[in-house]
Amino acid sequence: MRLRCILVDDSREFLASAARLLESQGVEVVGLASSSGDALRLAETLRPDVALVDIELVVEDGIELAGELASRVPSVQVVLISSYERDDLGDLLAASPAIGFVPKRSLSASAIDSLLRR
Amino acid sequence: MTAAGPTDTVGLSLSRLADEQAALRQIAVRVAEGAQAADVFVAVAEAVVRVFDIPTVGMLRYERDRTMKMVASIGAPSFPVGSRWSLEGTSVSAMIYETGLPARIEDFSGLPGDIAEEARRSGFESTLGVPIAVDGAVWGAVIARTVKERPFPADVEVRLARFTELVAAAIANAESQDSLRLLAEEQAALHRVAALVAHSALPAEVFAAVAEEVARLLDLPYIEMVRYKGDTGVVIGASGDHPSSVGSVWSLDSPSVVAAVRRSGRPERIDDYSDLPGEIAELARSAGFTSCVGAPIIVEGATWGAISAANTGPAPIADAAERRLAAFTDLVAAAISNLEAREELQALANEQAALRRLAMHVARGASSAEILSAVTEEAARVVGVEAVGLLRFEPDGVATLLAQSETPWDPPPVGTRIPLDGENILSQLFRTRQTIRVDDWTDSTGAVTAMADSLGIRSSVATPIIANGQLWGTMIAVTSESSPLPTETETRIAGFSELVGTAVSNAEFRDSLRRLADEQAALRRVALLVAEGAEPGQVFAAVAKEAADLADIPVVGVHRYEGDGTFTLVGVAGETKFRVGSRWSVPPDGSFARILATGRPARRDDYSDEPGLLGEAVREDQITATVDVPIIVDGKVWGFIVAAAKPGRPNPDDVEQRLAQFTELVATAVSNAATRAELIASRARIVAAGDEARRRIERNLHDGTQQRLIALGLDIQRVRATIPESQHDAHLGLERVEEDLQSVLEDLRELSRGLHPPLLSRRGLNSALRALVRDSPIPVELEIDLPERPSVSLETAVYYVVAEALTNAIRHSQASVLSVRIETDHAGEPFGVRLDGHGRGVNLHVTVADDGIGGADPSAGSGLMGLTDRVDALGGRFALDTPRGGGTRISIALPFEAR
Repeated sequence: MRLRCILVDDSREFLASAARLLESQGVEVVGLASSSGDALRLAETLRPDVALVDIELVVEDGIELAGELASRVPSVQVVLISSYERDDLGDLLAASPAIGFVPKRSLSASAIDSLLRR
Repeated sequence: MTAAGPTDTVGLSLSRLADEQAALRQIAVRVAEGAQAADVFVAVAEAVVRVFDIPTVGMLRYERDRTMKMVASIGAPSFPVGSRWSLEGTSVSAMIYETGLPARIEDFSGLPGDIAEEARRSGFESTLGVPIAVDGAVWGAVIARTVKERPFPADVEVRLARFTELVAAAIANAESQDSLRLLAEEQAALHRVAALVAHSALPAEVFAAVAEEVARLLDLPYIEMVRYKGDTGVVIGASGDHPSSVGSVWSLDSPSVVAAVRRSGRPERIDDYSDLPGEIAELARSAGFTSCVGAPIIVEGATWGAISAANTGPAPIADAAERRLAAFTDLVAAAISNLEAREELQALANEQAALRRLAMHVARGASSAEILSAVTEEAARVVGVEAVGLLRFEPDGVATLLAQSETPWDPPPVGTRIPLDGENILSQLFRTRQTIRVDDWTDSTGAVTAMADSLGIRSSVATPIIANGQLWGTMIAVTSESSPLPTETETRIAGFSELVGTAVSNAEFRDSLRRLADEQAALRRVALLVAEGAEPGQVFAAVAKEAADLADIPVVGVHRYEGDGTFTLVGVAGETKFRVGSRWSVPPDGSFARILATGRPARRDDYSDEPGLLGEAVREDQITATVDVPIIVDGKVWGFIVAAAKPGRPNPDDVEQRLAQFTELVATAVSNAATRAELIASRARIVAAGDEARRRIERNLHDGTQQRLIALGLDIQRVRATIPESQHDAHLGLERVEEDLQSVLEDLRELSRGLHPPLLSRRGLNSALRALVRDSPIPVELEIDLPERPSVSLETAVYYVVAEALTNAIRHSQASVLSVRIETDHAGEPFGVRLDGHGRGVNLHVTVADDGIGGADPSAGSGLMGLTDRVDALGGRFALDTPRGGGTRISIALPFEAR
């Protein structure tokens, strides 16, 4: 059973490449969103297993979205991603209901797997 | 040779008579033709030689002092023309002089006297002489000499006497003609010089003309004109080769004609310098002067100077020379009198005009300041000095500079107080109440001297100003030029000092003077505050207080107009319930409204029916009337000063004028502060612009470049996965590419972090700073206590300040722990009244401290410099406390602005 995930990021290049990569690694990317609103709709409709959410959504806050997803679609596991490294983010991650954080450059199916397995 | 002619006596007589007649006729013709007396004398002597056949004939004239002078001499070279002989002793000329009768000497041996001696030496034997009588007096004599071999004819005395009688008239004529001629020449010369004087020639010109005429007329080429000055004579003119040079000064103790004239006030002469002591006599001797005469120059009854004339010839100067010289000195005296009179008149006229102008000032009701200023200007102009200052003596040993004329240098400002310590012209005048002159300040001391030195003052004259019998102040004339002030300065300034003294004696003027001084002092105090850049609130408070004290106004308030129909009280003094910071709306038709509309002062005398809160407050304060004076900044009404009157204490009439200068100071302070605020704001804008640019760049990097590179990295990963394991090279190649890519990404991230910390804008100081200190090699205690999030520029500033301070500490301090504390001062340390009117300000405080070695250097390439720039740009304060060995503490205060 392939992992089903949605990607939430406002960089089109990243979404395309990330989707292609994950697909090539056996993850089924069922939806792409660039805004909180789209992300929530997709999550509710498609009920993916995992949502990868960019912390730096320009208009809305990725951390906030993570919180909203967790409360509205608790079945979805949220993984926060960012162009910044963990060190740059300080204690932002600690309070979030997201299950973990992956720097974008290190994105891979196995990274997500290891978070899910925890 | 005896005549060989007719032998009979009558025939002889007749022929002799004819000869005599012929000779006489010749002489008469000569005289009639206007021959010089000298020529006539010679002619007579020759006639005697010829007619009487006598080998040696001389004619002499009797001079004063029992001397005779040879006026013709034939055959006796030892008695030449012009030689002068004493009549002491025995001689023919002496006998004739005494008796008026012919005389004869056959043998000179044993006879006393110079003439007898010379006669013996020359081998004279028979000498006889007959008198020449003119107008009944013995004028001179004809002397005949012969030798043994040629005895005199028998009746030679009688005949000679008769001949001489006839000749006497001719001689007298000739002499008087000579005299007349001389007189005419003299008159003409005097006439020429007088013409110069009449044409107002300068004394120097007149003297030059006199020297020329005297040299010609009196044959005296060495002429000098001397002016008496105390015990000396100053040479003010010298002709030709006179050994004295113009400008030289000679003591009158040394014997000289000039000294003698000074003593006697009459013409004097010296005929022999050989035994005289002193330098003048020595000079005369070395110049070869044998004789010198002098005559006084009398100006206004006093012996002003003298003219002396000398010659170097053997014979002394003629008798009449002094008298004739005197005629010329009279003309010179007239020229000098004229000149001095003209100068005096001119000065008087100038002075009169100046005083008239001043009187007009007073009549026009000019203020005391104007009058004093005008007096000093006029005095400087009339007296012709570089600068005149007017000072008043204060009871505390200080002189206040009340007015000064335009000076060529940078003078101390009016109102300056100068202590009268030390020994100097002012302290001396203060002590003695006399006019003092100081041409050389070398030995002077005290504050006055220091000021004089700094202005380059060389010569000065100070006169006392006496008012009501007391020493009130002084008027001082000064110059920075090397030659001292002219001697007339004292008298000229005196007139103006008196004017001021009189004015000051007048009580009204005195009052206005006192007010003026007080006003100057008050304005200066406020001006100092403004110049020091004091906070506007301080200036407003000072203005209110000074104005209230100065004009004795019960309440003075300084108001700022807010532009929206309200005004705020920003400074107040006096008994009042009005508080600084209170805000009031402008009554639509009140005096404030009038000021706003017209920009001119307004009065209001009745608040009994003033409505609203303002009316209530005014009445409660018991304010009866107000005068409002606008404060104009940049051509617009910025606010106004109010002078409020209370019962029994009305506003003075001139309150508008008196407040006017204060309003100007307020306007300046406001302008200054606005400029400063503008400056700070613009710097803050620059800093903010820089920060904004960095944020944008970072944003672009993040959103654009970084995303693409990350995407690229993911693509490469994906592609690598599709390449079979067996293709090692391809794998390796791609792996390297991936590594390179990650490396580039890492560089970009570093760059980004340097540009703008990612968390700062999103999460604020707390998150950003915690991320910053997480990896610090020295542990950092972070305490942040802010009521709300600060504005973007403030937040950025605090972040960078802390980052820089921490970097420095980590690099240099060798500390064991660092601490960062960020908080605001809720207690509200007063920040002053801000111009934007947003009430009191609150400060944000940042303190970064360490327990390291201290001794931090805020300059020399450390980041602390850039830090202070940022703090300055936001109008904050920076303090560095870094004792060696005692750790370092950086404290920064910035005005707090919320987001």
